[in-house]
Order: sequence, then structure tokens, then C-alpha cells
Amino acid sequence: MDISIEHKGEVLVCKISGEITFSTSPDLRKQLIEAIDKGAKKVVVNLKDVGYVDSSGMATLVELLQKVKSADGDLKLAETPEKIIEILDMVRLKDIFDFEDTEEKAITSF
Amino acid sequence: MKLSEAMKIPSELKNVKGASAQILESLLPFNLSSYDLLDIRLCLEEALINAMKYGNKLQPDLPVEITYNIDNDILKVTISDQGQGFDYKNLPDPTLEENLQELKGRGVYLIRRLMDEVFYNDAGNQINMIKNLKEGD
Repeated sequence: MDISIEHKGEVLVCKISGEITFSTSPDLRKQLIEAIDKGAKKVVVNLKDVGYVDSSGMATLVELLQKVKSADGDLKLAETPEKIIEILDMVRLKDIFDFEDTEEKAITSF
Repeated sequence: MKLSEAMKIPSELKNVKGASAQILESLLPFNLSSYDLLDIRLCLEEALINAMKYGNKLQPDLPVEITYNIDNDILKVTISDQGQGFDYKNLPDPTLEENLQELKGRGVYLIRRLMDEVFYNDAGNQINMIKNLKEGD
């Protein structure tokens, strides 16, 4: 899994490529929690190039959402592949995350 | 196509992907869609992680046993650990409103949703997963 983090205005955009799993999600968690602790309140996670998310990866995304919300911020998922949405929907994570079709829409949605 | 294989792997999470890849490779003749393969992979890896982590407490000397067979277009996978088992009958439903923010409890639910049939032995340390490989044709 590769993670790139950049600031677009006051929005922190995290692009992930690869798989979010039990072995890769600790790194994602560490990097984003660090960014949130440093004050990031508007976070976009771009999942366009993610091909697989397991239950540990889902838990990490939920934890990050909770973390940023507890700091009065929000986290949006952008460009999530159809198959990943299907799996997330199976466990009703579509009910707690905001999904945006494009990164641009996600950035302007706060 | 008939196939029957068994393997024992040490309870180290680094072995999860290789074991699931071996089983998925045996499904190649079925020309399953990438979506179907992803579903099966998710079930295999969730079950393997549970067996290693919660069953064998990640002790490398305790192996996880995997048997898988394909017969009449049906895949059956059995994964056993050396632990005491767990109360598989009383798992919280992760899709209930009060559980949506939980950080655990989605793996077994997903296995049950994505496989055609799932059952445990009485002790709860062996999961059996069945998938019809010609489903939807």
C-alpha cells in the first residue's frame, strides 16, 4: 500500500493505492492520526486505486472517522471503487461515511 | 474438476495472503469474475486471521489447518485452529445501528454474507465455508 498525503487549502487529501488490510492499515492509521493530531479537520481519503479492504481496514477507516469527528472535523471517502462500496455497504458502513464521486467534490463538500 | 488439498501453516499473519492465493489459484479454471474472486479471498483471509489471532493467539508453533476441495463446481474450505473455540452462535450483528461504529466484529458477518453456506464445529474452532462456483450462470 502506498499513501500520499497533501494539503489542498485547508483540506488534507490522502490518496491510497493498493490494499487496506490487517498488515497495511496500521501505517495508514499512524499517518492519518498524526495529521489529525496536528490539526487536520477536513480529511478526504481517496480510494480510487484501492482494490481490496478487509475488516481490519474497515475498522481503521471507522477509527479515523471517529478520531477526526471527535476533533470537530469530518472525513470523506472519494472515488471509491464500486466493489469496495458494495463490501462496505454489506456492513452498513455506507450509513456512517460520506462518499463523493470525485476528489474535487469531496474537497468542496465540507 | 475434482481437487482435494490440505495444508498446515504456522500462525503468523504474514502467511495469510500466500495461503489464500494458493486456494484462489486452484479456482482459475472456473473463470470467476474478479469480484467473485475478491469475495472468496476476503472470506478465506478473514477466517485465517481469526484462526491465527483469536484461536492460536499468533503462536507460530501452533498451525492452522486448511483443507479445501472442489467437486461438482462446489468449493468447500475448512479452517481449523488449536484454540478453545468461540461462541459463534452469539456474535453481535455489526449492521445494527448501535454497532456501526464498532471496530471489531465484521469479519465473520462478511464470511456469512459472501459464502453460500457457513458452519462451525461444536467447539467453535473450525469453520467450514461452502461456495457454489457456478452460481449465477
